[in-house]
Amino acid sequence: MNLTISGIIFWILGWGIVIGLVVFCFYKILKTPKEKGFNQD
Amino acid sequence: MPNSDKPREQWGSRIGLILAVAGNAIGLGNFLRFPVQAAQNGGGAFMIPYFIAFLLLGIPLMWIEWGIGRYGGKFRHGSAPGMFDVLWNHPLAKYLGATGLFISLTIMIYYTYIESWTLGYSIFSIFKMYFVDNPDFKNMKGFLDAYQGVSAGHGFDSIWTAYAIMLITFGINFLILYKGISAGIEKLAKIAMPLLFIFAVILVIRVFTLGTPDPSKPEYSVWNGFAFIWNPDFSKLNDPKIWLAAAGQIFFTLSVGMGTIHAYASYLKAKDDIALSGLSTAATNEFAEVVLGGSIAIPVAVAFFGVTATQEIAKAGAFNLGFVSMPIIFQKLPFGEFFGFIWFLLLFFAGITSSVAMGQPIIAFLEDEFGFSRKKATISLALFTLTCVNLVVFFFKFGFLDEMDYWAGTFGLVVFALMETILFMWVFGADKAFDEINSGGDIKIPVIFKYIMKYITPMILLVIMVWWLLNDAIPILLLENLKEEELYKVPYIWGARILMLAILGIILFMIHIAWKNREMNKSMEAK
Repeated sequence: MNLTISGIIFWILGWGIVIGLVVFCFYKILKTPKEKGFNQD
Repeated sequence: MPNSDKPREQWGSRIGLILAVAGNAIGLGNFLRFPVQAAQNGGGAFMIPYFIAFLLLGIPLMWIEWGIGRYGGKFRHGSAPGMFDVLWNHPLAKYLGATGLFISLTIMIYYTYIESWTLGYSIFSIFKMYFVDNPDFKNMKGFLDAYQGVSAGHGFDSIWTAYAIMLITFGINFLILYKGISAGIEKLAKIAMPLLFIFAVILVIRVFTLGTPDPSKPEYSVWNGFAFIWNPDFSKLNDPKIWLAAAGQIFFTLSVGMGTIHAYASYLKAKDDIALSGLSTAATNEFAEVVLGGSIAIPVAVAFFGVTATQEIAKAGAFNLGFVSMPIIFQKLPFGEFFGFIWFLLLFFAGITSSVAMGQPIIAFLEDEFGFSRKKATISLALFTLTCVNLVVFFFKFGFLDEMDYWAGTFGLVVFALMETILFMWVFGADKAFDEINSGGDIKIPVIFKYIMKYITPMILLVIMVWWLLNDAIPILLLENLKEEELYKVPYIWGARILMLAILGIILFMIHIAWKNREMNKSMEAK
């Protein structure tokens, strides 16, 4: 069983979606102004 | 008696909360169940239904549970009975919430025992206790069976080693729970989660650099392992079982339907963000599963045993992959004791961040509804779980754990998730629920998710529930799945069922007492 072109495409897509989502979320968290931050009165 | 003057605990930081909820979600399944499911159900093609289920089931359920949790916290409720009671003004609501407490408590009882195996195996790895000259499946299965008390030998004359490590594991769990939300659970997450990711990355790098361990067998390579996971088999997409398997995997991996996320979210303030935090938690879990979990156990198994043998290993289940196949591989690797140590310690961290989450709903229930101190609530939980776990340990070989795992850890989850989705999106109201989830949000959730959460998510849950009911639950209930030679297990299986009914009965009775006390207090205050 060799890694096929479609296998590589699905591998890149699978990792890409997940890594993209993680980057998006943590970018948004870091971008959130401190004064609007978490658990602040 | 509930003390409404005492301020509730709070999370110290957002990252601590996200790591704690991600820790709850990231468990043994991310590293053992996911790669097996992907390889068995169409490889790369499995990722199509997997990501669709993530979008339509996983993310919506995450938001629903965070939303219910934070809303319940406003009314000083940290567990499902109180939360359901404020969502639906009906005497039955709080009793439906008993499901959330029953599931988390029952799973905690047996899951912590499984978690203790990972701690034990990390110690056995570093001291090379399972290392032999010619390691094979029979030998390693024998070691596992002896450790679990299923058979004797391999240096284990009794189950007491497993029992002692189980007690240590429970002790660590209760110590963390006793310390509380910020000083216990959050601190654990901030230490264990980065270590888990570091260990996983070290192992992934080791897997990628393995190449072809035996040059005389060029087909036994890591790249063929990745081919086994990622090469798509589109013909499988016509099979509804694959779609159900993907939905089931998403459901298990995110640890939804357990009442644990609700408990954690109840310690948020009314205007704290949940939209972005919920999504971040789901994303972190997916990273641990798809990127890290998919790159360790199965690729390395193919590199050492080949595709055909790995298919057999996968069929034998996740535990065999983790506790039988992986120890053989560690014995064949240079510095295998080190890689074995970090593999099992990684699984231990994945386990403990989940098991403390399972203890929190009951502690919150005792604190919020009965006014127990944290210490008294933790001791009560410890006494109860340590009593029950004895049955799991000593009757393990009779299928006691498997029975509890099916009803609480599999079928129960989907029942509770369906219940909470209907209560939040239909009884409480989709508009109010969607506004509640978006309130204080650092991102704006697209409106389409309101309709997904109202119509599509419960529909998928209903399909899964009916499918499991017809294909698994009824045959298991009627003991039709037992082979002739397994009939000796029947009394123990019924024992497990009686224990679960007793746990549910105790919870229902306590809910009754708590609300009765509440009514009495109200009438006394009125006078």
